[in-house]
Amino acid sequence: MATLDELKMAWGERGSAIAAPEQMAAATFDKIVRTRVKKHTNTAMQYFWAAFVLQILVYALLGHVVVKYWVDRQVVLTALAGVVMYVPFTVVLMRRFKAIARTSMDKNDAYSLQKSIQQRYDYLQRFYRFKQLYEWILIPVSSAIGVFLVFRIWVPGGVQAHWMGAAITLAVTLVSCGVAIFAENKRNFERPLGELRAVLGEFEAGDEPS
Amino acid sequence: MSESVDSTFLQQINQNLGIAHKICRGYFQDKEDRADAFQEMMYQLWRSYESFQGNAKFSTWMYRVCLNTAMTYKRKSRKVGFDSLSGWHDQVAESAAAGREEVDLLFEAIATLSPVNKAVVLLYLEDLSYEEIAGITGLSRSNVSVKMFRIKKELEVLLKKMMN
Repeated sequence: MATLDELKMAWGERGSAIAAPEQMAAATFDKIVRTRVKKHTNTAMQYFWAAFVLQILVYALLGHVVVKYWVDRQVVLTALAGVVMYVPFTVVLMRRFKAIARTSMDKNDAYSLQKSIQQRYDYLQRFYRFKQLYEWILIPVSSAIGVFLVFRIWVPGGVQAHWMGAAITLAVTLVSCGVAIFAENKRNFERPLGELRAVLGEFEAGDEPS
Repeated sequence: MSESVDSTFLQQINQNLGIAHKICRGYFQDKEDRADAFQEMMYQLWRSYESFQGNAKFSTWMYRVCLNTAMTYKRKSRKVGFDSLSGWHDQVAESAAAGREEVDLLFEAIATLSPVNKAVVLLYLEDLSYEEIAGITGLSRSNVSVKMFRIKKELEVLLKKMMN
């Protein structure tokens, strides 16, 4: 049975066989780069379009309400509050997302693996924290605005006359949003952050006695 | 950097291409994941090359970028797919698998290690000194030494089991 040091010799001897059997042509490398640029851009654009479409929907719906029910001061003010509330959140969210999307893995060639992974973790964690704040504030408030407007406009008596129905509608809306957000966060943030945390933990745990 | 490949860069990549293949083989068992991760490594190398200031050797920098990519790679190739490169990767895999020897068993044993331990042992097998390994990974020299001691024991037990 060979020891690792003996296997190291075999590794060196067979190194050339493990390496590529032929050199990579410029066209092949170019194709890889173009495919990856497209893939990474598409991922970034998916987020951009999701936020953009949400903005369009919010502004279109609230704009329609403001124009159609211009005489109802309460409706107009609530709708305008919804419009104003969305703008700063989306601007900051998109700026932070842009910062993550543009972050190269190794901006500094002197960075160690640990430092690069820590940097990646910090960027993702900061973005996730802001996203959570966005979700905790914006989703309940905008759902409440939506429910209020729907009941005010289409249900005679509004929320005051049908508070139970309004509360159930709000609860259903929040639960639906919550389930979707939970699944999205788990896939795109919790899991990757957990994996990065595990790797960083391993870097830090090395000196402990066994 | 524009989307065209600099000839000096490509030459250096080709001279050190084995680094990416060995890391892919050590980190990914699934053929699709391996090919996808390889493409991601090439992309990250191309993307980071602009910031490569020559403070370290090209191979050292390449190890760092490829290991970073392998450690943070999301295994999702089965869902999103990747572009085939006309069987180029299959050729690589077949070549590497030809004649299963101790090295192939060693790859299998390395696959069972944790991500950081994989990085440490792959660099050790490439004959890098503990100082160099510490520089690439960010671990202290003593930490590398402790890790290597444990990895050696772990791998020897695993290889013994595999051979029996």
